[in-house]
Order: sequence, then C-alpha cells, then structure tokens
Amino acid sequence: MNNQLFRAGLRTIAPLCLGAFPFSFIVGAMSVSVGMTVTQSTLWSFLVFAGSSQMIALGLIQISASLLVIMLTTFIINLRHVLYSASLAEQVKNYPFYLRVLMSYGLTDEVYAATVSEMSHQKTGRHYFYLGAMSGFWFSWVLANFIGASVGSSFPEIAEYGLDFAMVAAFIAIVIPQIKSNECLVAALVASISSILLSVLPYSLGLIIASIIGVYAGYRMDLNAEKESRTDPDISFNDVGHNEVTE
Amino acid sequence: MDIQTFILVTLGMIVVTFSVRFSFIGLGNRIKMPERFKKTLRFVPVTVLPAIIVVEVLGVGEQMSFSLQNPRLLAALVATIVSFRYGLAWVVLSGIGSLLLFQFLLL
Repeated sequence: MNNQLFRAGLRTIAPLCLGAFPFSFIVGAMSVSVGMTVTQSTLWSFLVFAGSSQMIALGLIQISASLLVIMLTTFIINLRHVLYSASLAEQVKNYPFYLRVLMSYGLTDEVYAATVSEMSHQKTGRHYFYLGAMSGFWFSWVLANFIGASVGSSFPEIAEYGLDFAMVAAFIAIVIPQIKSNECLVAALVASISSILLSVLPYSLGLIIASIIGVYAGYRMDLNAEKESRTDPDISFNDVGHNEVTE
Repeated sequence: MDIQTFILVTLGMIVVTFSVRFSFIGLGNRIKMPERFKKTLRFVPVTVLPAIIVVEVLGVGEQMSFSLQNPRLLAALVATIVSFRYGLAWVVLSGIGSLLLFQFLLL
C-alpha cells in the first residue's frame, strides 16, 4: 500500500467533496420525505453512489413510476459514464479483475475529474491515488447523505418548505452550464416540449421518449453543422467530443 | 419504504450504474467507441434533465399550469437566471427562497 499516493488522492478530491456535500445532503433529506428510513437512505447512498440518478429516482418514486422506468432513466442519466470507462480502460487494463471491478464501482463524475490526469501518467502504483480519491469521495458522499437524512427525519415538515423544489433547482444548476452550443440548446428545447406533450403517458415513459427525441434532434443538428463546415472551411466547432459534467 | 421495494430499487440501480461504469474497463480496452457515439452522448444530460424539469415545474395532465400564476414556474425562472452566474448551492437556495416568496404573494 502506497500511503503517500493514497493521501495525495484524498487531497485532490477534497474540494470536490465539499462541492458535492450540499447535493448529497439534499438527496438524503429528500429520500426520507419519499418514505425511506435513515438507515435505508444511508445504505442506498453507499451502494448506488450515483448523485443525479439517486435524485431522479427519488423524484420518480414520488410520482410512483415503475421499477423499469427508474432503471431506464438511471441508465440514460449515467450513460455519460461510458465515456469515463472508455477513457480509463487503457490505463487500468493490466490491473487484476477485482481491482478493475472496485475502481469501476466508484467511478463517478468527481472521481473521474480528480484522477484522470494522474492516471494518464505511467507511474507504478497510480491506482493508490485513484483509490484514495475514490474512498474520500465515497465517505463524504455517504456522510452528507446520512446528515441530510437525519435532519430530514427530525424535521418532517421540511418537505412543506419546498424541498421537492430543491431537486428541480439542483437539476437546473446542473443542466444550464452544460448547454454551451446551439445543438445542445435545440436538443434541450425539443426534449422539453416533447416531455410536456408526452406527459400523459403512463409510468413516466414520456420522459424517456422525450429525451430520445431530443438526442435525435441534436444528432441531426450535428450532421447539418458538419455538412456546413465541410462546404465552408471557415467555420470550426469547439464542441466536439467534449462533455463536461457536474454532478 | 417497505423492504421489498427498497431492495428492488437498490439492486436495479446498482446493476444499471455498475454495468455502465464497468463496460469498457471490463472489456479491457479491446473495443473502441465510435466517435459519432461519443459525440452524440453529450446530448443525454441536456435532454433528460430538461424533460424532467418541465414536468416537475408545470405539472401533469389536469394540473398542468403554464401561466405566470404558477409560483413554481416563476421560481424556476429565478433559479435559471441565477444558474448563469452561480453554483449549485446558490441556485437551490434562491429557487426555494423565491418559491416561498411567490407562494406567499400569489396566495
């Protein structure tokens, strides 16, 4: 065990832990308001360890969506992690299976962001850096959730003061900084309008169909933009293959 | 929440999140992702979240309210404007704060 690298990982992730604290706190408080006990909430946070998905699942549980819709939405929300997995695959390919399983289990936006540059160096034992960052974030995530759940269960009336709206506001805070191009803006608008029109569908299936329609609109915008930039070489785009995510 | 629902939701979410995170790491770098797929993936968060937000803000079916009398819509507008400049904590605080204010004013 390389303590020095492990501690360096902890230090690197510390500011991100602080940043994610309020988010996990809100998830904890909300999970109690949709009917989880403090123990269930803490265990859930430890096992699932996926910020936006947890919050969205709570919203879906609240409107009694089916398990299948919860799983599909979680899948769609977490698809971006495929990118992280692909980017780390080369660096960890020689590690034993159990280590790759563990590292994948804890691969969140924050862990990826904090470790990607260190992992790209060919340093022996660099996985200790990763494991340090991962355990630090995991611990603080579950701790914040536990505190949020405890506060939420001590003040049940907290839900009456717009706690469910905290989730909506958090989603707005996550999504607005990601809309950085016309393609993304169009995709977001198409998905929103489709979602309103499809909101009558059962089990909240409309959400999933609306986001597929939105992604398709964005894809067509991409194709168009690429065609235009081929005929007009002056146009360059800065948005290619670059997906910044905050959780 | 009853134990059965809790276990099902937890296991379901673990299976989905883990398989996504393990995908390429598990394959051990044997498969390359097509560039087109990578590029299109960036639309996922910007479509799923707005789709959820509009339903949460406007409501569903009979309860849908797309008017300036809807305090949630006004608070969402405030949160959106705040999010141009500030981070998560401020957006959440201003969103809840303005919701309470608009609910009080529109009562």
